[in-house]
Amino acid sequence: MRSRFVFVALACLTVSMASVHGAFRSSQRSPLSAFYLAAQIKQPPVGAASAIPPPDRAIRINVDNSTPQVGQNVAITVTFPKGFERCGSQYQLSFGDNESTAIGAGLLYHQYRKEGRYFLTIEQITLTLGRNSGVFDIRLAKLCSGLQPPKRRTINVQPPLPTPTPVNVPSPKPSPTPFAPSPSPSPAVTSSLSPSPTPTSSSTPSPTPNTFRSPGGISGNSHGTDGSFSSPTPTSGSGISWRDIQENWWYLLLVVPIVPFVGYRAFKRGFAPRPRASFHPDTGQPTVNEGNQPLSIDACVVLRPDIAAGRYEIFSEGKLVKNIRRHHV
Amino acid sequence: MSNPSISLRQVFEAPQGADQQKSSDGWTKFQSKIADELKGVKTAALPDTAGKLAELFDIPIPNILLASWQKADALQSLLEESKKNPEEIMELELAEHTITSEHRPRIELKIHNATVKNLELNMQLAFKLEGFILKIQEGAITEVRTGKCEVKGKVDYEGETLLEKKLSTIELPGSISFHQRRED
Repeated sequence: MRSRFVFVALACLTVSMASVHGAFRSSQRSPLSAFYLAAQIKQPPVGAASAIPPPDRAIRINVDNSTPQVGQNVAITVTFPKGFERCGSQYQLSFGDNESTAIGAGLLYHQYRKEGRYFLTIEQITLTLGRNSGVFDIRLAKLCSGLQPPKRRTINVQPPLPTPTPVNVPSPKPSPTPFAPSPSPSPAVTSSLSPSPTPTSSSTPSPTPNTFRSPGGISGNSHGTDGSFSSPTPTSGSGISWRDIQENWWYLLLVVPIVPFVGYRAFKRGFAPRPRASFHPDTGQPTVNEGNQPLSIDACVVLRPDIAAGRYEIFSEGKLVKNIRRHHV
Repeated sequence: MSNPSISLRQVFEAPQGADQQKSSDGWTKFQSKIADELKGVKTAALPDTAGKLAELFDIPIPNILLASWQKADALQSLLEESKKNPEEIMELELAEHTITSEHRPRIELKIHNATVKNLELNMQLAFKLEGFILKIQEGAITEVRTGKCEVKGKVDYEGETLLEKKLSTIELPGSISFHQRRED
């Protein structure tokens, strides 16, 4: 009884500490804390600049030329994370010149008619959270709610040159270099107006397979590079890495006291000596009730007063043996 | 030994062998109450409590009758007399009489030879016999020709009656032989 109370107390302590920890770290999602954050799925605001999406949940925009000329085709590649198609959400890409188009994953082209600075933004049109064939899927909900639209991309459209370069008609096939004017796909940090102050190491491979806490490079590559998003961070979606354990070691403090108790219970159930039951019948002590028969007739004794002394006995004992027959072998 | 065909199992309508389906309601309640008592000991290895419980009632009724007759004062003198005349066979016609018997079967739970629970039952029986004839030879009761036998009984545990058998007639074999070792 007492051990059960201790177990319940430890469980309550674990839940309460996890709740407190979750309140402080609600903006960070680690695999270890995912079990209690799963119930708090929030749809991030579209275009939110503060939250930095993990690389596997980010919608990526690649622009082949961030400084095109007026009338020049700009190749825009939108990449959605794996599994996006199951979300059922629809997005539209605004080119910044009052034109927009519904998008899916793939390549599209746009021409700007006027020079100036334009912002490429992605807006969410519809959202279907976690519905998969009518069944709510918590994993899918987490994936879809975690989709982060990219930062708006800036395109500085230059005035047309006096001698306009002939523009090829874009082929619908994503040819490797359909547009000659693009000088190079090298990162153009200056073309981005990303508010992120950490434009470093976008191409640094993350040493851990963690998709949530890939250190450092996520914020840089989403803004500083020219939409390359070529972070080679291996994504696994779920799983606990050694780094997570190191960062969230205090969880073990909650689990460790429970482990001996669970082990004790398992030992007691599986290996503790079991009592053995033995049944002992008893042959008893039977007795014949000799002479305990009740009187079969009522008796009324009337004593004469002139008798000075006398003795009158009534034997109510019945004989057990009524008759005996003897014969010789 | 006597013919063990009829025992207290029949009196209290305990199931025969592994056939637990044919047990009476009274026996089922008795069994569940005993199981409740044994639940106090956790992880008790009681794979076949029901079958073992019925074994507590495997006491042949003829043995009870025989033990009671052998202790009766009226018969002891005749048994002594028969012992002195081994060639004589005596047939005793018994009057209507009653036999009471008290038994204390128990269930013991042990862990490494240490008793952790001892569940002792108190079983009380009363027989009413009529028309019984005993055959005595060489100082021993060798055979019984049975008559009418009525029995009632109850099983108590800690003052509570768990099982009760109201007075009713039981069928005994017409003749029961006892093969006792004759004392020289």
